[in-house]
Amino acid sequence: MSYCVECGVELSNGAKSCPLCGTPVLNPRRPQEPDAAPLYPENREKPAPQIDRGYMRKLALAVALLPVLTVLILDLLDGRVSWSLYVIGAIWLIVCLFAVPFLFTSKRPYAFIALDAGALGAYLGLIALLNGGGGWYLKLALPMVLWLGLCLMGALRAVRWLKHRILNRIALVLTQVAVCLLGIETIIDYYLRQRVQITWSVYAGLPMLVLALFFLLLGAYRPLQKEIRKRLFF
Amino acid sequence: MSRRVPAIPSWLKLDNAAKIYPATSTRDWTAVFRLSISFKEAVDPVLLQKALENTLKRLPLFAYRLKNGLFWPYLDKCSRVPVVQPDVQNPCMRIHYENEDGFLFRVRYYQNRVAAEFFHVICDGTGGLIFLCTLSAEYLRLKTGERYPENDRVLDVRDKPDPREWEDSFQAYAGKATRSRKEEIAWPLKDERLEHRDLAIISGKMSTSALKDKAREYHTTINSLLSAVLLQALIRCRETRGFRRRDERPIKISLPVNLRRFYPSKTLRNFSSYVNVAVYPQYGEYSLKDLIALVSHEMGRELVEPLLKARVTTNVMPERSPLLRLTPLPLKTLVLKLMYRITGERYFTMTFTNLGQVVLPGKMASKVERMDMVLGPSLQNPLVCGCVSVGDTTLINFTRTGVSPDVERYFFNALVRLGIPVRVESNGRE
Repeated sequence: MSYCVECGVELSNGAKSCPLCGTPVLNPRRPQEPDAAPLYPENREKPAPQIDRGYMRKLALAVALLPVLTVLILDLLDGRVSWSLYVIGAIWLIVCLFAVPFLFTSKRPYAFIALDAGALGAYLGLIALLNGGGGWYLKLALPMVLWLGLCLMGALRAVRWLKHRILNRIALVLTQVAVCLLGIETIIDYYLRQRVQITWSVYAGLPMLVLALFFLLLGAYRPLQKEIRKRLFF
Repeated sequence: MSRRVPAIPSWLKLDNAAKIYPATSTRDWTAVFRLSISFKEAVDPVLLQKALENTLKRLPLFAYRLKNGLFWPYLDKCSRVPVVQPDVQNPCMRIHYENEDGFLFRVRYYQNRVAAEFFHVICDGTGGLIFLCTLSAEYLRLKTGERYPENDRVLDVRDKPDPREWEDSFQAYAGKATRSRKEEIAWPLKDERLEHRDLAIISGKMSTSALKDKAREYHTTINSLLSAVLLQALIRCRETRGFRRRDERPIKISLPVNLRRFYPSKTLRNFSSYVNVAVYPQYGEYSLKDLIALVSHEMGRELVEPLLKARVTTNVMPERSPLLRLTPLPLKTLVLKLMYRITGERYFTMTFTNLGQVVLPGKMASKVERMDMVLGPSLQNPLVCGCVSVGDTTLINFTRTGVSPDVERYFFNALVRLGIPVRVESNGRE
């Protein structure tokens, strides 16, 4: 064994210098053992290559705040806040639609859809407020946004309903699209005519239902699936 | 005797000390500590894996993962078993509990050494030690066929789990009266950071009987002796770095205290308090005897059950407040992060954790060479120290994120001057 002449501590076999003071080890009576096992192995654990989302969130906030403050200050130079609110609302909507799902690791798609619908509804509400258009907002825009949000959540639920076969899930989504179109026409009709008269949504929805039925039957009939797969594989 | 296994909860609330870690742990402060045991023969990973599976059946507390609720994080039962991994040069890296099979600990092997690294959310040093000793005993049993008697560190894996092991003892033993947390801010040990977030680990091995004899000479305990030598090293380090106005703050070391010494708790979860010992170097020269007296006096003054209970109560009280309980978790996390960065480590210069003498049963002790305790990096303080003894071997491990090994040099040098031979090794990152 060797000792550090400076610190007086015993050093491990193979130590080229003292880890406390760096004094080189020179002991002619005991040559160093280059193969002496180090205290820890050579391989190092690499930190997981993940984006520091906390930092990204702060950066996104800073990036979004810059144009917000800029337009607000420019607007205030005219004496009052007016057009800048459109820009601020749009920035907020963009952040909710595109940045939020990326910046948060927790997989909560329903919450993201709800946030998006809420953000869109709020932006349209802001536009309505600034233009005195409460009528179209409450009777058309808001119900449309809420209905589309609900339909999107329903479609997502259908897609994630894993205990059902894929073809059944496609059939369910197509059915939901048909119902969604029905809802859209109802909202538009009620706003324009204060009464509901189903017309165009039937033409759009019926083929969806037919397609859904086809997928449902296909899902139930295995031999036909095999035939189609045989002929259509690539 | 009933062989019915007690109901293992499908989820657990975090204990009082654990609540801070999910909010504040980062790549720089991982809140991970490491315990290792070195045998006299090379480790067989296959047997180690089997031993781990058996140990988890006896100690189900370690088979939980961390999840976030709306108001508090919680521990969720996990049915999988972690896989033992080869060891690495840079231990105590962050444990990614967000992963699907995110266990809050990992077991590693290297040559004749088995190491277990724990995220502080799941257990403290004592809990980790019991886990490692039980795992080691089971491993040796699988290897040699010999079964070792149970003691306070080694449990029998054939026994059924004990619900007292996952008790939140902070809640169980908190009282009503609180005491002020006010104390002086400590002198900070500042240092330039090592590159690439490296960790320098310097390990000092010495004879426990030599330490005991020296402690007896000074009429004190090994813990007080080592704490005093550490304070001496910090004073010397401060002198060599020059004296500035801000250096009027005292040098303080934080000494964790195992509360199981004062209460009949069997928990493996966090259950410890701390004593901060302060020294004011500007008052004059302190001899080793003076520092030992200071440490002994402070420990004697603080380690009194009512005072410890009051400190526990002070920590537990905030989480009983309805306002805090109903604050959503993201807001709590933000506030905790901020508060920890501002105040967390300002009240001590460094931490010295001493797990004391580990007594292994019978023939098991003859198969073990040494045990190590390595603390993970601290957020602001660049140096921490862990100590554990088994048989006649005491290991003191310094973990450093700064470039300068001054404190370690003064510390081990002082021990050598006291007549205690020390063998020093490092992980080569200094």
